[in-house]
Amino acid sequence: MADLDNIQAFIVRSSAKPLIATLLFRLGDAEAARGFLRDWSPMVPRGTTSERTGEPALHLLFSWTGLEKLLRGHSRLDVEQGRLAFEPFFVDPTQAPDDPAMAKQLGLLGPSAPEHWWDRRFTSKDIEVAVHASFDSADQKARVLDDLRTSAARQGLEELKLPTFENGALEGCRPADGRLHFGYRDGITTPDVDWTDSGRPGAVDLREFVVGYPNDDYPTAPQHPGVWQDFARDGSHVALAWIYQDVAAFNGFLKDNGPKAAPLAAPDQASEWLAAKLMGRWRDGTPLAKFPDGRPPHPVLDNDFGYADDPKGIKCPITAHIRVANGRDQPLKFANTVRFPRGTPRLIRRGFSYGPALTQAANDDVDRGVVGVFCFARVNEQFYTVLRWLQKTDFSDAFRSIPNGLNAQDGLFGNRGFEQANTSFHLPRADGSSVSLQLRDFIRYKGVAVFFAPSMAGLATLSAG
Amino acid sequence: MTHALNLTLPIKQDEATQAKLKHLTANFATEVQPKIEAALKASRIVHFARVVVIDNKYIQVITEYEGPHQEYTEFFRRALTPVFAAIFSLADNVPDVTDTNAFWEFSKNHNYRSLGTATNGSTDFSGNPAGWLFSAYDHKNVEAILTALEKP
Repeated sequence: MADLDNIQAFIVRSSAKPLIATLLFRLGDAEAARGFLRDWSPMVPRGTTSERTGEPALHLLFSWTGLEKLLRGHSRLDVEQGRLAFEPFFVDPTQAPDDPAMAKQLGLLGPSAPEHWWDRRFTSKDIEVAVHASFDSADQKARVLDDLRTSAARQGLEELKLPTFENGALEGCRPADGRLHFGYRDGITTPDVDWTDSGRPGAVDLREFVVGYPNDDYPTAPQHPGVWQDFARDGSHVALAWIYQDVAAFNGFLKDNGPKAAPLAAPDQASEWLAAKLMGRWRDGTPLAKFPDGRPPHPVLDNDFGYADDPKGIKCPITAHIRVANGRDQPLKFANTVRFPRGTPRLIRRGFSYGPALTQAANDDVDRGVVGVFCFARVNEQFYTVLRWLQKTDFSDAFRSIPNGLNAQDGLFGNRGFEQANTSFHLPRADGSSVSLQLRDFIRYKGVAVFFAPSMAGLATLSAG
Repeated sequence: MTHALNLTLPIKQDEATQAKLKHLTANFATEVQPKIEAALKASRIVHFARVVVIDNKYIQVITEYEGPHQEYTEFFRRALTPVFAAIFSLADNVPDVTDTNAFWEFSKNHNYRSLGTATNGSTDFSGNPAGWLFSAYDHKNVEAILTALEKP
């Protein structure tokens, strides 16, 4: 079983703290940087602790170059061996999300291409440490960020600032009603992790999220026993994805296409119905799989559903976002059943919303969106795979049921400039008829980076040098 | 997008390795080939595959398959672990085929680029433009071809 006391808390449980910021740094002198870690590691809550009001919750993430700088010259951890022990998709720059070929493969192209990222002030490769912090209040946030920045500057860390944000850091909130800018209630589906390794039916194996316990089904890196596996154990990979949401384009799409999709409904209802079809849930969170024809009087935040009774997507379109990102009982194609013997890859989401709500029909040129924070154990087999599947739905034979379905895309998150993409959103009806709508780009990536969140013991090793 | 794999390994020349090669060659059609064929047929991502031995000095695994190397290398490793173990055992510095990192690195380092430049955007394991691969059907993928052939 995993040692929850050794895992940074945000991997084990979500936080209810309303304000969130993620600060990005480049390290300077390694010994000084260790001082920064010694100062701030005690603020990182452990997976066994309950959330405490009045204290910020800080989490520390490192790129490979960050780990390399901190551990170079370590008496036991040879970084050249470490480079071979961690997976290449974490250590090799040609396998990073900002490598041009990899970016293209993952749908990070056109306006979402790496040359546009991070306000064009720095690159993903410059980020060596990220501090992901949640706060109870604006006062607490201001005080802690001030202390963090003072401490970082004193110990040689250069903050990589983003002019988009008034404070210079990725910052936002966890909306009180849970609704993000497209109006959907978020955070309903969270993997139920089998942290005790009991084999509990329905639960997700802990190896999907933490490394150090590899087996044949989950050959997580470092795969072989030794000092690097010991160092990495109870750590998790974390991807940061800064995603702009084009709310005006999204609302315009609903307004223009709702009546085509649901000609008998009033315009507002038609828009709501189409919004539900794109997500796979009504905007209040109720799943279409259980309530395909209309919302119940109160939201039903249900996760106990599948798609076996809806192979053509009449209730929930097969390219609806939640059906692409997590196919549940929908079979994968043969090659993917071999890659994923325990089922479709999963991610833990710990992101936050940023920017003010759009209050008019037209685009107001204000930045808004979501900062995705995804936790997983395998970069290529989980994070990259899900990104690929959003762009091209050839990962399951289920998509053959719609025209050119193996080149279709996620209704919300597909990059419509992806090579040979079928950008139609296909809505089959029970009477055998169907309607296809021309999708638009609703989101744009503004920065993606992959980190490692070490265990508490790992943080102690990094701090000690 | 179709990618070519030209995995080429120098075969050790010691007596024991040459005996293993002889055994692999003798049993390939009856024991190895059916396993590869079953996995690749079910995958619907591989156009063609063959294993070639050159003068008992080199062994090649040559395939044309769909999708980025990053996406399906792990499928090949998992689906054909004993086959790759037998082939890799003929070379020096072979990886443990149960080791995903080592398998990736070994495949990357032993994939030889064909001459010319790919016209379909294909890349090698490191994202560099791949060599030329002719396609008589304009790089249509396996699924599209099979679907077209299956139509009445």
